[in-house]
Amino acid sequence: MLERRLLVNFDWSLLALVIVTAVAGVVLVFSATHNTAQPDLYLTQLLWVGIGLSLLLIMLFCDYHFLGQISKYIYGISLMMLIYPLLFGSIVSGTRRWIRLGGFSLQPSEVAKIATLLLLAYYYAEMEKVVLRFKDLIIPGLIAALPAGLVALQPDLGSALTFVAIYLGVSFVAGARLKVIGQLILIFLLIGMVCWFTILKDYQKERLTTFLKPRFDPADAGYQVRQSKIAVGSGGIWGKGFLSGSQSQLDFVPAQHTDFIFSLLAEEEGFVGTVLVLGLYLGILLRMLQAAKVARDPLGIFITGGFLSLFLFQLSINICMTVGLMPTSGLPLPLLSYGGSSMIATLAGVGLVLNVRMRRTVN
Amino acid sequence: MRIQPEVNHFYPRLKTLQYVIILIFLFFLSAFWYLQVVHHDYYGQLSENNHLRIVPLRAPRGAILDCRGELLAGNRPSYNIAIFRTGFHSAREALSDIKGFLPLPQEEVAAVLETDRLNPLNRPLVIREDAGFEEVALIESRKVVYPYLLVEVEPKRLYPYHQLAAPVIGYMGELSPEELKNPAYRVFKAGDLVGQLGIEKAYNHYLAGTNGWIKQMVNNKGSQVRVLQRQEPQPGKNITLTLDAHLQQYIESLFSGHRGAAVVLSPQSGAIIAMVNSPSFDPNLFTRRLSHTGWSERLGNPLYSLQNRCIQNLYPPGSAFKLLIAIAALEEGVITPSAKLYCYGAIYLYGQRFSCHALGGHGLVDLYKGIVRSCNVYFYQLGQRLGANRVAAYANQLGLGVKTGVDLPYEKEGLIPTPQWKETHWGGKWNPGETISVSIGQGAVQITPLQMAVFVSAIANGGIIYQPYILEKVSDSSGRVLVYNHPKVSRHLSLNPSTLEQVKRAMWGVVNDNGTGWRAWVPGIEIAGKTGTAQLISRRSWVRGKMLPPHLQSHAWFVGFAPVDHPEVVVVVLVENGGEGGVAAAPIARKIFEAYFTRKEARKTVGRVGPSTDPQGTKSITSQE
Repeated sequence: MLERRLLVNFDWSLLALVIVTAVAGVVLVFSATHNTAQPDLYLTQLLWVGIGLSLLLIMLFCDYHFLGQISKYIYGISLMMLIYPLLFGSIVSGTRRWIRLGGFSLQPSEVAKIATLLLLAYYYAEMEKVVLRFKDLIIPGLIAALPAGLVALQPDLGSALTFVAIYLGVSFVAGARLKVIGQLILIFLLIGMVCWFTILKDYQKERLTTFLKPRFDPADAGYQVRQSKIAVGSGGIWGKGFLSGSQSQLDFVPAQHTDFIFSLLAEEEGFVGTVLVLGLYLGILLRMLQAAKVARDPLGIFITGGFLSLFLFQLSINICMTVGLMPTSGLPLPLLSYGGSSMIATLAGVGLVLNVRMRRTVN
Repeated sequence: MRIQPEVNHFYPRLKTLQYVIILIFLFFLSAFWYLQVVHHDYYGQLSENNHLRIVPLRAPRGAILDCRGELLAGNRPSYNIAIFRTGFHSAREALSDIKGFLPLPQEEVAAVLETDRLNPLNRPLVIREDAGFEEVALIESRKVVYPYLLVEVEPKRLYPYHQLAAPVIGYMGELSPEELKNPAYRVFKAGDLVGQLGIEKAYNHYLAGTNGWIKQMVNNKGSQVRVLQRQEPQPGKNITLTLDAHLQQYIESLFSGHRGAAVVLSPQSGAIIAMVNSPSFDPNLFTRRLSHTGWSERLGNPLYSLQNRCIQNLYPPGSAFKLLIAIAALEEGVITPSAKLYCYGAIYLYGQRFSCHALGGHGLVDLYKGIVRSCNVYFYQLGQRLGANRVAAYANQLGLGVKTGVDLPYEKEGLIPTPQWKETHWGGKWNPGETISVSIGQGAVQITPLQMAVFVSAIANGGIIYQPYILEKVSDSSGRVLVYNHPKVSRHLSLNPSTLEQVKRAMWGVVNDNGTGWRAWVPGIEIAGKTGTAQLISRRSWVRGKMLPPHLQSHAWFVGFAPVDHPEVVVVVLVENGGEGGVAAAPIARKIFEAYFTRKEARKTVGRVGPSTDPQGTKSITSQE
């Protein structure tokens, strides 16, 4: 099935950039956890990278058109997976996000992101329209809103917003008029305001408000962001050295192997390390954009553009949080943060992009 | 290839996306540049404050001992409760966090916040000084819950004799903001206690040890992860004074109920054997940092004084100044010892009447009689012959109206008035009558008791002006002597030996030949002296027979030395508002001489008795070093 001409168009550099970034992530996870109760977490992360790369490989074998055709089923399954923890899941730190499978936990929202992306891309491609009006965006809106709502119920506000990003990203690439995009953003702001007074839990409100006036309380969201900022700033140009970041190693920065892994990088490797890793990310994004540009059909463009939006959104939110410009959202940094579901989903998404790219000339 | 032409349509959107990506990355780049390069120092400091803590190890302060090793100032262990503010936004927040289990009164909170601004963030802030055992136990038991609270051991100053020689020894106080800027106090930090008066201040650099510290790394809970560095404290140096605590104590007891000062000095070296100030204060009350309330109470109390009157207060010398006039007159040849002047009980000079204290007058008066009877009329005329400028020059040469250079802080200079001084300070012309007032130590003449002691020493030792001193030696904690203080001669005066002989003989007469100082007479001791009664209010406005209010009563002086042939001790006594010098001051001086020589006799007969705490076992510190 993997014919020779498919390999001609295979984007080796994108794959290489992704693997290098993921391995850098494993090293950072080691630094973040070697001194804690779970010193072997980096091995687990390595395992996730392996599983993710395997899935990426499997994704390459099936034509993305086929994936598009079965996307509604994948979407349906992912919705059920989102409902499952809400009904049967046990509460972990106040939320029901996980499905337990043997010894491992799966975060269904990560699966749902990819599934929603695929279905949206497929829907727009099937529409075969050049200019999208407001009414054309209603059904895709519902497609995104359904998993977003379920994720918000867990509750996981950050991930719920990711669906908005996917929706807007795919719609933008698919040709939605800018006026419509503007209207949509207004609508989301309105929804946000309504949610503030109705649905939002107190801890979520607190996260958003105390961001500006942090207190001394390691459990406090504002404190975390402030400590992350200190970690970044104290890294300086050359960093404090591998395994020597006092902010991260002495637990001043919380969740230093998951959400705040970039602040560990910035502290230990300094501005130099920051620029290098940002360069890797920029390379990955530009290669993905290139894949979109050379894609053979709209479905390919939408899949690639949509995943790019998803990737860029998560990356931006996480880094803004790291430098203290946004409240903690619980969003991991793609490829660097510790976490199986996120890693596997991201690598699967990269697999989709490679899939589109390698089939650019194949009929 | 059915869709191929269609895809071109999406290029502009992808192009836009590309610009968005690049913009976002440029933004990231500038954000990290801003944090990591531009503001690195700021965040680096914050990071250090997070995980580095300095726990001070306070060095014990050197002891202050008297000439026989008696402890005048030592240390006792005390416990301070301190708080680390790192992790809090402000000291106020840190204090409110512990409010529940360690409540602080409002004014203490204010005092702590005051010191907060001067204290480096990674050093603990003392919130309770000298905490009781129960409080210390409470803190230690909650160490896990409040890891940012610290119990630090501080050797606290202890003055076993309380008020004894307190204005001379001094007290401890927190480094003031002005001192913080002073390069001499560079090694100290805000919150450190430094000597604030007397020996404690003058020799702070010897007494203060070098504090040590533990630099520890802590985690986000404030618990120590490991010790990075440890610097052991260096104890301060011990100081031995020339002061004799027992004699000092005895003299202070003589002054109980009186305000005044006394100096006992060795005329052969300038060593200060006793320096008495009454009233005094208890320096133990000042060793706390945060006890400002107690201060104001005591400062308002007239029986409680920080003043070292011997060097900080200025008094008119009264008739004791006649000794100087006599020396100047003999040296300048304006009179001979045997030349007689007639005293009618008053004299008219420059159209003014200047009276003598003897109503009927002293009759024919020569130098001896003038001094022994303290005849004003005789000295008015000597003063007139000398003129104010010559009087001032001699006074300054003999140590009056100039700083003695004693090794104690805040010494005052005093004043011997001259026409030029009056012109520059008051703008007026010198009235020749002022010279007449000056010649009996009145008018604008202002001197300190210590200056008087230096002056009398010069008469006793044949014209050597010593720089008086109180520090005998400095030794380290193992007893090795580091500095030995040798007597310093300020200047040798080339006075005619016969001048001093005449004056000394007359001074002997003051005490032993029916003079004004007869109350200082001690059988067996040849004391020479001179009384002084410094009036605070002109005699003319004093209605005879009417009692003066206490604060306008004259200051009583007695200055003297003994034995007259081989002087080994100078005594200066001043009783503020005591009245007549011969009545109020001379008896005190007698007791001082008596005590001094009894102790010396005891030493001679008993010999050197072992333990230094034995009041009889004395070591003469008056002899030359």
